[in-house]
Amino acid sequence: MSVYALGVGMTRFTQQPDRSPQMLGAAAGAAAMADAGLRREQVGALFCGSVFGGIGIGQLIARELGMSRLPVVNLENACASSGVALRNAIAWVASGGVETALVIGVEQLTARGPGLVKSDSQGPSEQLGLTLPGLYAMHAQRYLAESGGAVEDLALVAVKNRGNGAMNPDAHFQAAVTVEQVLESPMIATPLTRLQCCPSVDGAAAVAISSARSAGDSPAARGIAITGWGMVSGNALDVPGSEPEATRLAGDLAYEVAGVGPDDIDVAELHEPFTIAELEHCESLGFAARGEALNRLREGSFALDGNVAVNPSGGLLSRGHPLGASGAAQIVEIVRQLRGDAADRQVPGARIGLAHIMGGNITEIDSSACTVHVLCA
Amino acid sequence: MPPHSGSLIRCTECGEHRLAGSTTRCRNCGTDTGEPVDASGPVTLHSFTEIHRTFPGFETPYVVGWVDHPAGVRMLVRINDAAAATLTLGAQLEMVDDGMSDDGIAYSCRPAAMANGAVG
Repeated sequence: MSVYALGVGMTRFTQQPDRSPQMLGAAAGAAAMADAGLRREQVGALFCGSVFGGIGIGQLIARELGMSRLPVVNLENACASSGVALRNAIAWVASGGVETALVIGVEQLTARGPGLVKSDSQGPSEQLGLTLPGLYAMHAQRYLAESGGAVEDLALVAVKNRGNGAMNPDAHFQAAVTVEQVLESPMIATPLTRLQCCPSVDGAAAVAISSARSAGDSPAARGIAITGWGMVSGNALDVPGSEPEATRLAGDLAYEVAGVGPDDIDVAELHEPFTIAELEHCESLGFAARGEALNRLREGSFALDGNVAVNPSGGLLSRGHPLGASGAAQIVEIVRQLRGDAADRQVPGARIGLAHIMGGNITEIDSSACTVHVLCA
Repeated sequence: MPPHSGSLIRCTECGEHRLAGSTTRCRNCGTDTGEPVDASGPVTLHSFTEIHRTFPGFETPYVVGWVDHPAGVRMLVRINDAAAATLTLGAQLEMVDDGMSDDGIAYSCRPAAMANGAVG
């Protein structure tokens, strides 16, 4: 059975501590239903992804939307929470359990106070003082040593994504930056400077999916087919010689289901909380050979008019990263791109898109979860 | 007192090593008993970073790294007495028993003597 993204919607991602998680989630959910032309009684189930949303966040959002009695499923899987929510909603829809489901990702971070995002667990990593930027910084040191790249190359990821985000009214940062600005910003964890780290923001994003190509009273069939999906939880990394595998495995699963390969992808939204992550994921997803992502980036392969446009929304670095909401926001962007609705940041002729999100809070495991979805206009 | 670097637990059934505090059971055989072992000696630096912004309660900057221990464990450690600029990937470091922990074993991880390896 086919599954379609009928409608998408999101709040702007920015610091908005006065808006509760349920307010944010309801705003995004209502926008997605309006975009799809769906009445709320047509929604058969609600899936809500959030890290810090709290017990019953999906039910609180449903109440805000005047929806009751439908099944509500809450999912926490770190930064991948709403990617995993979508993966589960697809399973319900594809199996015929419901015709239409609403997926909402939501996070209110800034009301928790300033500072680095920290999990509630107190494992050995936290006790030693390993931060999330520090974890990715170690990836970066290794990557630069093996690929022969320089910190200026890492900065190019931020420059590209901030440039894209400058054209996205839903992004937190809407100003381009230069390599010099990126490298001169304060050091967070060598070699990652502040502008190579995503900002902590608040927001919500939603997608309505259905086995029907359009809602009954929708003026036109605007559904974008979701043709591939893959999800894994990560492998152990505390063994000498181990390498991160989650992105490659989830990507291979999604490519197989969709019947496409990396060369077919026109536009991709990838999880890049830090510059290094985008390079690693481009290689794991097959957009560049191992150690070659820096060269492809320099050549413009990942620009809006490149071989595959990577993070046209501005990505986490520019749009901001409200943890549990980012996976759904990626789908919002891909659907807009495949409809041709992305205005100044439109990827010319985009027909097949990919969204990749991963997240984890256990240092020694590649990720809590990683999902890849393939969409086709 | 510097924070603990890695302490190792050896499974009493199959001999597999794991980092203290990581799991309560051996992931090789599932046994839930193990004993602390001497983890001192040379390790190889897989990667590292110097942390400049961190959680409340930590003094910056400080260096953390992943090191490969010959017992078959890649462990996260604090690297003491090290300027990040002097470290290179693949360098030999030393786990040194500081004997200062409440539970018996604590280590600091330090650059080995220049003569020992690739430091520099």
